Amino acid sequence: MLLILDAFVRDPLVQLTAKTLTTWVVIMTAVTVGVGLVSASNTHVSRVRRRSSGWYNSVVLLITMFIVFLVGITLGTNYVVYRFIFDNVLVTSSAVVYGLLGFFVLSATYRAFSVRNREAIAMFLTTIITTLGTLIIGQYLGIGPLSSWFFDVLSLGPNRGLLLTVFVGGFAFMLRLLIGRERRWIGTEIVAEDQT
Amino acid sequence: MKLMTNSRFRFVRTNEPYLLPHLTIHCPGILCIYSKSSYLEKSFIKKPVTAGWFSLIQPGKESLLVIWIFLCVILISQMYLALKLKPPKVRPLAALSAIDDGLGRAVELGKPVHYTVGIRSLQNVGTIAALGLLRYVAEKCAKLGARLITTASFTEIIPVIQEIYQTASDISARPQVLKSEDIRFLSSEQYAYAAGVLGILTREHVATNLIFGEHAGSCMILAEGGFIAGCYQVGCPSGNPDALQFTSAMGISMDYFLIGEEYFAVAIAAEGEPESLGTLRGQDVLTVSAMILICIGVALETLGVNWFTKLFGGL
Repeated sequence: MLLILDAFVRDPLVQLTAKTLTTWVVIMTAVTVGVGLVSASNTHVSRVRRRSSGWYNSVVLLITMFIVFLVGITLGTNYVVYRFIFDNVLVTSSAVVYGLLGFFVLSATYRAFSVRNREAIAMFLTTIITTLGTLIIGQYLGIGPLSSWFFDVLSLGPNRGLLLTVFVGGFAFMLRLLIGRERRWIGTEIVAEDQT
Repeated sequence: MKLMTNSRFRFVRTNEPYLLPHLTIHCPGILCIYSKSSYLEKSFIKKPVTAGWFSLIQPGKESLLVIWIFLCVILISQMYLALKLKPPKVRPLAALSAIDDGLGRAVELGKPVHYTVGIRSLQNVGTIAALGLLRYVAEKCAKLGARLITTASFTEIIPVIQEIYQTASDISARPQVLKSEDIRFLSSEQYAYAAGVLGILTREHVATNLIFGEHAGSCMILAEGGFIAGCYQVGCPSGNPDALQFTSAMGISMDYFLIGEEYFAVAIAAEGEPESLGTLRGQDVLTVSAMILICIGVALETLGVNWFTKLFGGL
């Protein structure tokens, strides 16, 4: 409630309390990193012990995780070794997986086109128009304004409608959390069930 | 009340709260210092604060506050009505049936279920909705005997998932089904997380892939990766605008796709309590109210009347 009040009220006491609470959240989140470290270690150590398939990947993960962790803790995140691992391993690996995204979208779209119905035809035509509209040849053909209209009107309106419903749903859920009606995720309500 | 003035400041001591338009109201007896300005007129100082609490509200947030109160009143009243009078009739939610079908498929094939709670932290309402739904899935899995693998990208979520597993195990006939080693922290970096999930989907031969929580661009990798791995898939990209652009492509990859508020509706309806059904009705009332407001706004703006649009300009 204090954080919500902070969004609307300009009282110094409320603002200070909200800021303090936010700092607490940051500290608690930092502490839970240890929980993640233990969870990941447990999973992969047990995989190595059982010699599960691909156990050597777990060995690599554990070694890398602890090297990065120790270097970060002892020498700081700006240390040259840490920066090297971050820039040359994490960033490049992420870029590779991000590159896969294009292929996945392409394969999903191809399947949609292979369906022979009116919706698939409409989607195909839309794709052709919007793709051509972003190319130079599309500008020569005069498709540019039509493509922009697809983006600015046909696509933007439904997207905003979608965001509106998401906001309403999210707000309803948030309110239930706030008044204590949504407690399943903290596992407090245990109802005995007939186990016969 | 005592007034003192020098070249730079005016000092005001009051025994009653007074409204000063350029600053704020203050408590009786507190000495306040205001910069020298023409605001400090006697006419203002003499006016006791009766409606002065309004000045506490941050400028430009008034309309947002009114809407916020309106939303709260509608939702709480609908919940109250459903609880005290008659719960509304809600059609069977196809998404819940699709989740049940997926769990049944996993049991028949003897393969695990994968559940993702998204790539956001516990401060995100989409993540909490995913955790609420996880409780439903975990209970069902424990009841049916399906192995459930849950992946998370934030460490603070791990203890919550462990608690959900424990609770579901406590009330189930097969407590040994849900194992803590199936709760996996992969990475807080979204593409590393997506790569980790792809590995699980293929290595563990997952039968059902449930994609909930908030995702960004990586949601498409999860959905299409699950399709290639032959999983039965239910899920949604939640409300993240980054993920909404993949809505159509993701819909192709999924067996059942939740759009917009349907995700939150399912998370709420999974509880099945009367007041949760009241919340669903409240959501519908709010959506219709928003549509009416949009129609009024569009009509007035088209006619050249823009006070209505300005009213919501601070949002």
